[in-house]
Amino acid sequence: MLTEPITLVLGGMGVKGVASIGILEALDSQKIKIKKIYAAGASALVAGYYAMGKNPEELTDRFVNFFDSNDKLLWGLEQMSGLFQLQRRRITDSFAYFLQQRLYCRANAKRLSILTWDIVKPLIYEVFSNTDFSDLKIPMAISTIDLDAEKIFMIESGKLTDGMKAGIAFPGLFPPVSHKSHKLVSSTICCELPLETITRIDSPVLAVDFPVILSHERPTDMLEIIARTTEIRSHAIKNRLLKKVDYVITLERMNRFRWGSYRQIPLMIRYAREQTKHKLSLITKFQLTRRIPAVTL
Amino acid sequence: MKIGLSLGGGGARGYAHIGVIRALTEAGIPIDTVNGTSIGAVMGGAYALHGDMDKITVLIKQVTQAVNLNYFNIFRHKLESQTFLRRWLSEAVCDIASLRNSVQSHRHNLKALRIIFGEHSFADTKIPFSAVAHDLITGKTVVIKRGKLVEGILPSVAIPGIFPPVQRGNRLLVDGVVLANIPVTELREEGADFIIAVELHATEPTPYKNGLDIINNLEAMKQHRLEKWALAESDFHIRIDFKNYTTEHFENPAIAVETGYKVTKKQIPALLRRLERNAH
Repeated sequence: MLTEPITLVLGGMGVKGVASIGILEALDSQKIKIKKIYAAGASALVAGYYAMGKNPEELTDRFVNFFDSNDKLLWGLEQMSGLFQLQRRRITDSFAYFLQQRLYCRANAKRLSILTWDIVKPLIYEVFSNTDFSDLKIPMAISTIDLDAEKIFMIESGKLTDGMKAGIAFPGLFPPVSHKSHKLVSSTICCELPLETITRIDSPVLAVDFPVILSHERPTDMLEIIARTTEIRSHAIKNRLLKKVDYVITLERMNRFRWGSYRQIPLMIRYAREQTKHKLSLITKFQLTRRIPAVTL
Repeated sequence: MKIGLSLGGGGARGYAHIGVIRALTEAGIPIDTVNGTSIGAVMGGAYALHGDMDKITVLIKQVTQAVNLNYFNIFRHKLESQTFLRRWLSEAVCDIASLRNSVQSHRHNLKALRIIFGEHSFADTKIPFSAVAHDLITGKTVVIKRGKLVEGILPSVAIPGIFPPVQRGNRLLVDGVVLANIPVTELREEGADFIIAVELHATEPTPYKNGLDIINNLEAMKQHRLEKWALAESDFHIRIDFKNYTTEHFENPAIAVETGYKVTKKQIPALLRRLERNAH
């Protein structure tokens, strides 16, 4: 059993980050204490809510309702995701492809992003209103990228709402977020998990990883080639950084979901909860080996 | 002790490699093996085959005269000055272009490589040489060290999206820049004991104006992250900083060659000390 308090690392591309709800539930059910959370992307929303001392399960309906009521506005995701148009399905297969396709070829060439904050802002303000990082019961850091310095920037202070926005500001999809003279975007595009700033002080560190399935197995057009290159790089960076983590839980069952599969949020959360529980029991079993060698391509 | 030279990619900045090699040979530092990615593979291959820097300079001059290596960014919009029809047309062009597998063909690349390498093969090189490419199917770096030099180096310069990937059997090869822009790890596997890694580095920050700029900058950031890990494994690191010298303008080699030579010359004493220390 993991008896000492752990540092938890959460991530996930796009909507998949919401599955962190299930992960946190599983950890809670095993009475595992968390001393700090590092989060990136949508998992920051879940982790922030949890760090406030609330039950993240309450967020599930909110997310489902949010996507249901905004599906038309959100990225035209309904069409793009190919949930009804199978022939366009590959667009949601890979986030990189979706972005490039939208940014290169449409009227977006001049814009900073495909979306504005109009749709997402109300949700973030409703959930986190005036909470500050210092109000949190569990310390938390949100991983972002400083666009001018081209470096990872961890947000650990200030208003939670700003942190959340920067955390989910997927570059190209949302405009960069201003925070203390920095221009910030989500770091998930470089590495799905916020592992860069982890040091020995954080030990023992538990990272929950959704394995990447590279899309465009045999890329034929330009955008597929670029998208695959992007994914291969992110994957290599993540695998390299995961080496410094004490425990890695790999949720292979999450493979069936894509970054835009918002219709499957409840299922995603359930799968994440069940598999995390299962893997935690394995950690107990193999306590001596410490690390579960599950990180493979 | 086997001294290896690992030459990084960086387009036209790669002319600096000529200066680097000249400075190293002048200082009497023997290079026993060489590898490279992209332009690093071209320059490394040229050195391994010809050995003589003056000859390479002449060949490069021939290349710049005979081949137009400058390519233009077809996505460069000037939306302000465009009418609706022009904008619509340029968008349509982009749409059609995105269905192709690249912006450019390999025609000019092949022409340039043939001038430098002719019909020679890897077996003809004076010192062991390998070109580093990337296989998009497996997502792994590939080391090429057999066959014709022109055919072996071509995949290494196939920048994804700009040039078409090179199909070889079951492999779909592109520029090694994907994971190994400075192929130090790959040279270690070729048996080098002491590796001198050459990094072509841009000093000026890249401004961004739109979403595409942002994601391209972030892609460069990822590349630097991977390069940093590779460089950490090298025994000596030569970093050539460039100001206002872009990766795509191949017509003026002199400045880059000079920069490479000067920077390396300055680092020779430190390199000799490191070599001395490693010999014991």
